[in-house]
Amino acid sequence: MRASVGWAMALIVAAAGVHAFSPRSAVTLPEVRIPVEHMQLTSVHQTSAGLVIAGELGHILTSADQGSSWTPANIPGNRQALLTRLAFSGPDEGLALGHEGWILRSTDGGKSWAEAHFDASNGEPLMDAAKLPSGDWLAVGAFGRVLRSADNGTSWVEDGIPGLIDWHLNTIVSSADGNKWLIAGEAGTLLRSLDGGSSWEVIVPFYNGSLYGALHVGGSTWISYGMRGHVFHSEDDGATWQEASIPVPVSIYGHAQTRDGTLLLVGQGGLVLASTDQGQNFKVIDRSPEGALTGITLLTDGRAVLTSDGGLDIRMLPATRPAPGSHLNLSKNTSGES
Amino acid sequence: MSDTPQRGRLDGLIDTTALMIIRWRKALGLLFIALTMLLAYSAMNLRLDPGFNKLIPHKHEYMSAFMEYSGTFSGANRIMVSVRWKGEGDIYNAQFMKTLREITDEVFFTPGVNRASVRSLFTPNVRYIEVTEEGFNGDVVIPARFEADAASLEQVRNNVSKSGEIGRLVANDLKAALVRADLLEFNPETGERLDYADVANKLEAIRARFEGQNPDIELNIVGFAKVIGDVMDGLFTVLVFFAIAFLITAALLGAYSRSLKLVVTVLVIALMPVVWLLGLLPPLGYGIDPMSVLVPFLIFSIAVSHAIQMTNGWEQELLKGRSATEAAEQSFRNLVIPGSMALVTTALGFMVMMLIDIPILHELGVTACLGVVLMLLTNLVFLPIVLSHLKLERFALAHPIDDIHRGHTHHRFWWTLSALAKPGPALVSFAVMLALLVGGTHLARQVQTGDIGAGVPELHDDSRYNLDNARILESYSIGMDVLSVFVETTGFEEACLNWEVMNAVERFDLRMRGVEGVQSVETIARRAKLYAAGNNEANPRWAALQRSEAALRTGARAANPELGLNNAGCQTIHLIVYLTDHEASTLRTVTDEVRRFIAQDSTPNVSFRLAGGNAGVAVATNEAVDRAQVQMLVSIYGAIILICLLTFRSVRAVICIIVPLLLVSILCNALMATIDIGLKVATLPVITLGVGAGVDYGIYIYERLKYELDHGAPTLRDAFYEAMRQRGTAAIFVALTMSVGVGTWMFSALKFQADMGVLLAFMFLVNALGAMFLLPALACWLGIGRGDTRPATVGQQAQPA
Repeated sequence: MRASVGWAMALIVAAAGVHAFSPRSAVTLPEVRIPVEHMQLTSVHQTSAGLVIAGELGHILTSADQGSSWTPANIPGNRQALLTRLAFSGPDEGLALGHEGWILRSTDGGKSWAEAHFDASNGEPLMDAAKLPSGDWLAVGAFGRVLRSADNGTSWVEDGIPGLIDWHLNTIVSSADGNKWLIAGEAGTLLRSLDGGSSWEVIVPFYNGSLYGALHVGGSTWISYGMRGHVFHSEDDGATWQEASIPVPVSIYGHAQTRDGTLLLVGQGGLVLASTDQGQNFKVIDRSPEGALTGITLLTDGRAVLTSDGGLDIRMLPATRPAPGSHLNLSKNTSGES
Repeated sequence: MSDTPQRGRLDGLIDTTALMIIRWRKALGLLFIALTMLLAYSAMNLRLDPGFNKLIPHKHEYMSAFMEYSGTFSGANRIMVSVRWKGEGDIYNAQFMKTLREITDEVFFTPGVNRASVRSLFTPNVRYIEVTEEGFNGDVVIPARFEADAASLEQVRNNVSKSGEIGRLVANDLKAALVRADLLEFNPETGERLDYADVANKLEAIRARFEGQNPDIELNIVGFAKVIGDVMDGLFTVLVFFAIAFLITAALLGAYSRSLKLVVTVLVIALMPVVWLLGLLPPLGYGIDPMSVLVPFLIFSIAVSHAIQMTNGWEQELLKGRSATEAAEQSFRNLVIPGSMALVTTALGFMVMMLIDIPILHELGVTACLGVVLMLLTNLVFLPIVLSHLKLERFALAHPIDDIHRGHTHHRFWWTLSALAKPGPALVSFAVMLALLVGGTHLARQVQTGDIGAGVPELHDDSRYNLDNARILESYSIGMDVLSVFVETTGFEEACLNWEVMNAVERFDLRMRGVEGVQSVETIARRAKLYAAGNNEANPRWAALQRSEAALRTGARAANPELGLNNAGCQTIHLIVYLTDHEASTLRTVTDEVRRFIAQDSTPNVSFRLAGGNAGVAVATNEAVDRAQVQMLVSIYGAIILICLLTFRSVRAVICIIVPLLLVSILCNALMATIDIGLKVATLPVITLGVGAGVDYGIYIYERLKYELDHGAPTLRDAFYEAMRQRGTAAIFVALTMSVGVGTWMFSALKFQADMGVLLAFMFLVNALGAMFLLPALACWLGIGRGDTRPATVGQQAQPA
């Protein structure tokens, strides 16, 4: 009887020993996550799905909560090519363009995508696309390539614009009413259309470097931007251009415009530039540690969503901080597109 | 009843041995002295054998990839000297630039440095590239004819910002710049192996010179060579601790025995196995490394403890009126069984370490085990011979160690303690035990495997090296904790021009960037994309791997084997994952993610293999240590249970001895969790050593208790009291001296020695308490000493009634 207490003690200690030295449970791995804050991103857009971003290895992600959480879009048969741009014609319909002539199409604001075009060999990147007033989509890309789709982006045929040589085309943008258009590209290439994209006119090069983007500021005023701090300003719908004043020689890859008319440009070295005089003078308003900024869009609370080749960053920029007592209306404008 | 014929034979054997030892004591004594002198001479040849690859678990699957590729993709042998400007402004000033140029030259001319690998703002291999409307434009960052005037400094500032070296060669805050160099393991001319300690000394001399010249300059030096240098420096401080431990032990012995002769005898006897061991190592081909340097301390401590038991027994026999020779013979008879048993279990404790795959532990086990086996001769044979010649001082005899007549304090203490052998007080013991057990087990579950904290684990957090390392980590974007993954490709002439291969690498790169604990990832895919963008005006929308071989060729400049990311033809591609730290949880998360990637993502003719880099070694070591801990515990406890069972022929005896040990083992792990000591190569042996040496207390006390019970002690309490009266003081004294011996390591400059010291001191001390407080309670409640007890077997040695 008495010995049982002793035995019980021995057993308790033995059990404790086994428990204390038994292998500790393994780490349970979290779900595989696409690291939006550490990946190459080339484009950001606001659609009916919320925020949409695209970039490295053909990844597209959407966020319905202002960037707090991200959901990978459904992309059957992902080609794992770098996506260069998102182009939306409205809140639901849009394209994603990428290397190897890759075109994806979405009709739900970017949550799911279907492949519309891909070059299995000798593909080159497509850089931008836009829907013309005629209802046709026009995509532009490397080596002066132009593709056209007459069926809402489902099928594509090679197209050409008279007067183009094989310089890379980087962007296609229009005025808000869709009547006036610009295509910008390498070696100062610039085309304009004043008839909704039906016919194009080559502007005599006024600059020998690449133009990466352009935007319609309002009225007859346009901005185009490119390498090493070269930003140009036109008051006559793109016929003639004057160089804007830029304090730093960095290349510019994206833009946005606040509802109160402030122009924002983003580019190399994580630089954000702002102009409050319709693009004649720019000053540096923010510099972030990440690499080259590729896109920017502004949230209703005044924060900027910035994409770069180093990842995503969402933060308040000095120029976009709402002034006390005033309500700041921000455009839904995004990187490179009108 | 228990006097089996076998037992009788054993007693006979012991009697004969005792007689022989005493009869031939002169010859034997001389033989021992001659042997000692011979081995002392041999010990002169002992060499230092720091060999850090002894820390690597060679049989681990990760380590085969590591061994295969560590030659190709070195980088592990890199030294970095960060020159920090502490004055006004940033580094672009004449004074700093002059210092940086001089330090670059000093590093360049340091023997062992691969001169082509030296990189700093002043070396021609550091260039800037800018893309202009006209095309590429590039040059060295600091022009050949550099005058440190305002214009030139401004130009350097601009060049550096275009060179992409900010965060790499220049600190992010522009207050420091690096000089980086790789060391050559072998001198290409003489073929001699690099003397790391020498390189470390040279670097330290550079630091002293430039910091002395200019108070605005601070140098932070990191690298494998510097670690080895600092560890070697720390190694010699250990000798100081040996001297301190020796003096403290002598003082304690003096206070305890009150006899100079006994103090000298015990110390000399305890030094003997140390000398023998050190003498035996060179002919056996072993050297001393930073871990096995601790073995002599341990052997010394254990030898002191056994010598005390023997001299104590001898003195008690003297007090019974025997001559020195008779007393020596009798104390040999009394102690040969528990003494050799205790030594054999200790030796076993060390021997199980030989099962472990990590060479440094294997060697530690061999040397320690050998040392303990030697003690069987020095302590059990030579000590009685010395004692038989000894004539104790009159003063010491008048104040003997355990004289019951000496005063009542001693007596009363043991009598009070012996109450624990009564059922009521025993329950108090149990209550305390259960409380400790619950808390201890809970804490023990939280022990971490591997290193805790940042920096180099061999050295303290506040050591100069780790402070330098922290400074560099916070100033630059590159870390020192690197996990390498190797991609093996088969059947490609130029694998880096194959899109499938490069795409697989790109997927790995992106996947790892999303893992917690990853600082950044460097792969050939990332480089190739950067070059592709660079060829297209640095436009980030061109930073892609294109499918056609011709297009991939634009990025081919990235696949230069000299950059260390691939070998020729990209047969092997080296993926570098920079980690935020090397704690076990980080390592585990990252390697588990790599394994998951390997399992899920397969590409024909491409295989991913773990692991290299210091983090790869750490992961393998952690896994080996985890596996080894269970293996060692099962072995040591199994061996002790078996030996106790064979000796005492009683399961209850085994329980009385094992339960306190197990409790203390758990508490030791709890202590590790509490004071942030991880389970690693250095701390893995502690529990085994502690259990192997700590079992002695239980054996000595239980053996006496049993003997007294079988020889007329009326109650268990009386028997326990007698056991404690005869051996308790010695046990406490032994616990103290052994704890002091290892406790001095706490002050070692090497963190792992300090960790071992703390834990071993704890194990030695608390094991004695466990045997004194818990053993009687267990004996009581297991019914030992009552009618139903099987009479003792061992205790019935020949003992004149």
